[in-house]
Amino acid sequence: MNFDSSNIESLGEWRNKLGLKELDRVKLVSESGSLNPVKKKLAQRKLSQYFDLSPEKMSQEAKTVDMVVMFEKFPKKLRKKILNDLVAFQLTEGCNGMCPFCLFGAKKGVESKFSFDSICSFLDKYKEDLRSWGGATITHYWDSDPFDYTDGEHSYVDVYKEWRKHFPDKRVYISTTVPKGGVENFRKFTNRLFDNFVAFSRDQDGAKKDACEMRISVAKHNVQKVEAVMKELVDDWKQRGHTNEEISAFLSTHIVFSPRLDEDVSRLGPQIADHDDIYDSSSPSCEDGTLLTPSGIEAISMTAATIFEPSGQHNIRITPETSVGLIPHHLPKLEYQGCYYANHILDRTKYKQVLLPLVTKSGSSTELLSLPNHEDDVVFKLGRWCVSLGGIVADISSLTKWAWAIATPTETKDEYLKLCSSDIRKNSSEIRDFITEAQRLSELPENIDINDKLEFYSLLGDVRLQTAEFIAGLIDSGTKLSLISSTAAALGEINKENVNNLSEILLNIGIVHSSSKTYSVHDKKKALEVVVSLMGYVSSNKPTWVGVIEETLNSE
Amino acid sequence: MDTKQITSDNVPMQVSMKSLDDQNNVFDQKNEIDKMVVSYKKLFELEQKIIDKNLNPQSE
Repeated sequence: MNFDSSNIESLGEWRNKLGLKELDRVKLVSESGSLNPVKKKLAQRKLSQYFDLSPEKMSQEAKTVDMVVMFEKFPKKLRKKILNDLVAFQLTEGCNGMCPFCLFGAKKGVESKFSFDSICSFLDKYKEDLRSWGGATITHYWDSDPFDYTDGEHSYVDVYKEWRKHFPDKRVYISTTVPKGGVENFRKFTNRLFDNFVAFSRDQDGAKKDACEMRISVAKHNVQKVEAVMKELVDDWKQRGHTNEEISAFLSTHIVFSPRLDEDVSRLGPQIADHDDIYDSSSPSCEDGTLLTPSGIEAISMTAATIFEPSGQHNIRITPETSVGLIPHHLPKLEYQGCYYANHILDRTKYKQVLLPLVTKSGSSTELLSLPNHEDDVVFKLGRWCVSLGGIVADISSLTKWAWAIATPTETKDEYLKLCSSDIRKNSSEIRDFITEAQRLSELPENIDINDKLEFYSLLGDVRLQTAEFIAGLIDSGTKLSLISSTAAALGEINKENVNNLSEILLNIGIVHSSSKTYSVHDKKKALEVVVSLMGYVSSNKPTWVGVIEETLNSE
Repeated sequence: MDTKQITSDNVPMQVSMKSLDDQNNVFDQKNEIDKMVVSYKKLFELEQKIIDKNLNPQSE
């Protein structure tokens, strides 16, 4: 497991781990003009592999869409709902990131984009509606990369400046892989952020804090490029007289390198055919709401990632004729699930939010959004319950895994666990009804074409509910937290290969966490080795929860 | 004292069940665990069947 970092050295560590050599872009550019034909060809090939882009894939050449014209084809009532629940502006359709981990499948470059002028007009015209939107973040990307965007002389840097004119203080979050052909725009944007950071931290007149966070995802295909470009930027800043401390402070404020190395990537998206465990049916999707894209308007909601919906995102294409009842109420996953800081546990306990609710209609947190076709609706709701139940089990498994969770007071964690159990119990009968209904529908002759899908969701729902109820049973019977948490972690990682060992795995987890003095530390260590082996982990790559138990046992 | 032989590919070993008193919560739920295993296996089998059918639609 590799963790997000703002430290530039991490890029080199991850590159070394992947067995890749360091790239020097400046040297490659120089060698691409070499009189030595071998050297010249090699440099040109590498530049083309990592940096340069063929014109037909560039945003510049892509079809241009007028954002205002597209949006105003929708009736006023629908437009209001779309803006009220807006999750993101997607500036381009298609991208050049070439990410092997992309949840939405391979792209053939940029196919369409919003015109820069229409983005400006849109922001000018609808800024009040966007401002009234809860004050939260509206993301500037979705299934795309902001640094792919160019229209004439304009790039994402200009879109960002325009956005800041209207929303000077709102937090902006963007994600990039520094796509092919987008390096110069990325450099320009990062330099702008850096200069502003320096001006603000030195209290220069007129300097304002820029609440922008940029995630740079790195994997095998781009880690060399990202490292090379970031080192160029840092060298440039140093030459301009900036200190290491200043540069580090900038990076930790604005930039996060996010590793997507093989071991950290769940088999989702196009890789779903290799999917072989229930853990993968968790959803990487993180919000319900609407998207504005050059190819149209989408309603999105979080669902389980399965072979039927590999991205973990349920999409409904919104047309001018679509009923307003199909616009989902905006809901960020983080308000319910995915614990990162101690306050998350406190807040969820305070607001009683641990199980992700079903999707509701725009403007309401209680009126359920239902699809017009009953069979589709049952699958839609079961997909949502599956990701919700899986999420609660994953969160419980985190309670003894991360330092912040370990440091959280026991009473807080106990209260959180009780809430998890009661929420599971409260909803189990309704979820069971959906499971039964999906099974019934799968047996009807008129559903012959979708009977596999209905049966699949019925079974997935059943497995998810049984797992959650098993954990709820442990909570209700007063089982100690370490045992509950490890059981949740193991259940979350059951796959085709280890499913037959489940009984023995849980039995040995019981010994590992036993309070009885009849088990020595040696016995517990042996039992943990059995768990590791029966789960199918290799000793060189054990999951974090196993490492935490090993550390605890070693300190006893 | 109860004993159970646990064998795996890498770590053949004998684990002694010296006292399970404090772990009844997990061990007492054997039926639930067995039921879960059956459901997991059904799901994995169906998923494989669907993937195979999509890869070779004419075989159906």
